[in-house]
Amino acid sequence: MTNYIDTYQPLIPYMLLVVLALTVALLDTVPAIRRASILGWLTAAAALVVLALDATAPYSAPWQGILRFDGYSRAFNAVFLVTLAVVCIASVSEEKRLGFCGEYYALLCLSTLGLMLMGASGGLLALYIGLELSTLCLFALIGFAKRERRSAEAALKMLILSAVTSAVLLYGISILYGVLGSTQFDQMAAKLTTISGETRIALWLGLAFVIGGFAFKIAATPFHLWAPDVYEGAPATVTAFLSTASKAGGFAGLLRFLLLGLGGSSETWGVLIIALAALSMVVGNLVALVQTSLKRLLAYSGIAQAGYVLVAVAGASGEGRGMSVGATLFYLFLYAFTNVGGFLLAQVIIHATGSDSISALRGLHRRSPMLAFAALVTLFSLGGIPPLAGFVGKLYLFAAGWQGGQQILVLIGALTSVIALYYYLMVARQVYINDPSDDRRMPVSRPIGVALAVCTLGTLVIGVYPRPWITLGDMAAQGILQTPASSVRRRPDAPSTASHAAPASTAQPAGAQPALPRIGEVCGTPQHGNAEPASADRSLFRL
Amino acid sequence: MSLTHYLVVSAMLFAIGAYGVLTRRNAIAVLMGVELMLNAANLNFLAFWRFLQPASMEPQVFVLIGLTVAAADTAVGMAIVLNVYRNFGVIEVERISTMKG
Repeated sequence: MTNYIDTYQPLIPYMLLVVLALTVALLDTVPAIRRASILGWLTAAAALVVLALDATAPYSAPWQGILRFDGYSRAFNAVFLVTLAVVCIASVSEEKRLGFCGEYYALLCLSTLGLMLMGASGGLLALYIGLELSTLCLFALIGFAKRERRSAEAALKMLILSAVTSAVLLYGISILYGVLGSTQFDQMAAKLTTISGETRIALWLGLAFVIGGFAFKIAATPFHLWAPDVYEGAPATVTAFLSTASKAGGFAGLLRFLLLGLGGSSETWGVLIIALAALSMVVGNLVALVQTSLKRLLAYSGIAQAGYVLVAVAGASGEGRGMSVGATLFYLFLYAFTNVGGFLLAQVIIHATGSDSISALRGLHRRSPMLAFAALVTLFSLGGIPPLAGFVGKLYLFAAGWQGGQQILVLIGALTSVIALYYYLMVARQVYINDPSDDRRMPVSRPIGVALAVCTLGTLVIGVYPRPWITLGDMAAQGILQTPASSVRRRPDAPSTASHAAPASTAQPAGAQPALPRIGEVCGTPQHGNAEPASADRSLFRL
Repeated sequence: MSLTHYLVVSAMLFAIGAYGVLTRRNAIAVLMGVELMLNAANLNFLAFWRFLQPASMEPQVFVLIGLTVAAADTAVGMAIVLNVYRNFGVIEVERISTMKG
């Protein structure tokens, strides 16, 4: 009986999210609640409660391992739910303008649920359902500004490209099923070693289709074409969610598929990921150079950032798997704060000036010093300048890639990062050096102010004190490295005080052995300053 | 009828769908092409089930999920196409382009 409860208890946070979505949509019909515009705050608070519940649930693998609740899913849930909370808070001030309320938050919750299912998938079935759930909700969210032509256009573009990719992905899954005889990750991996001869060609075809589907979700070149237009046309709060949580969900599913489904050897998929990584870094950074719109700049920078993460993914084979998973999770976590901050800034600028061109940022530090500081932190973190979070994260990613034998990719990453610095610094120059054309303060509504403060603080704190967040990454790595849990594994300790909202510190099981390279010792001390990533990580893999 | 026959038909269905997606200008026709591609995947699943693993339940579940997703896709898709028509007055894909790229 206790066994039964333990197996299904981890499902409670997921179900709670469904209940939350329905409740929010229902509460929206009460006029008093609608007028008070508290639903966003309510959803954000509920998301943190869900996070706390998820962090204290035991590990299990119900239904013959269709879903796997382990450290990996838990760590990624932290990324999704924190992003959900921040985006919900920021959306409160948009309610009046876009004329939405309950259904918007309901769709955000359901989309997050889809992402969580991707992170907790034990087979391609759950992965596909999660992917579709999150994407379908995002269509509706992208087109939410019903009277804006650009929003409608963005939704249509996303719909068509995403529907095609979904069909290609399903076709790829069907081929993989035919070749491997199962869609459960552990059975796929077991069958993989016996494949030889002509069936290998079919295997590669299916693999290419499936990886293409994921590349679309994470917006990696050459599957990135939707990203700039959709990011530009969608409401900025939706873009913030799309560019962080949805991307993290794509990586969560991709790593599950590659490391569990394909047995941790990069022999079959290595080339594809390397190509995606190199193309994304080069194309993303080069095209970003000529952008004049802040949202499009962030879109192309997001493509390049996906490339950086793919460097670590490409290095995820053999012994280096743990470090790659840890680096990926850590980067996606900090990227959520940084990039949501970036798009919220774009939102503020659009509100104040009516355009999102970079020149609208001229002399921002004279107009609104706090906003200018937030912009500086965001840009420098994206550019990877110490002591901000982006620097530690990128160092960790490149170290993981280097250790996985992807030296050339790391070199490309380091070189394109230098190019990227140029366009980030160009925006920073507009903010701090150029004179404003208009001296009035930029109006910032309170919800967006709170969300921006959270993002900026998050970026600063993770950069200066990365240790607990790197532990979160280690937890994800352990979750994926341990053998499939067919039976319930109880957590050795169940701290009763573990229900506070900080996601990382409570979450590490005490008995877990950190057998992974501990980058924390090096990155925790930012005094090795502006060392270039490629040379700095020489010192890392001795750890 | 062997497995190969089914797979060839399914591949043709997929190719026809992809051709429709790439050449049709009307957004609804594009979605119809997508539908063909999804059904090609379903046919694949059923063929593999019938010829390789008749004892397995997985393909049938996948086909049901695939049909459901296709229906949901169409439902949301039609709403979006309707909204595009209200804003632009057309549903020809290349005429709906206010943003570069």
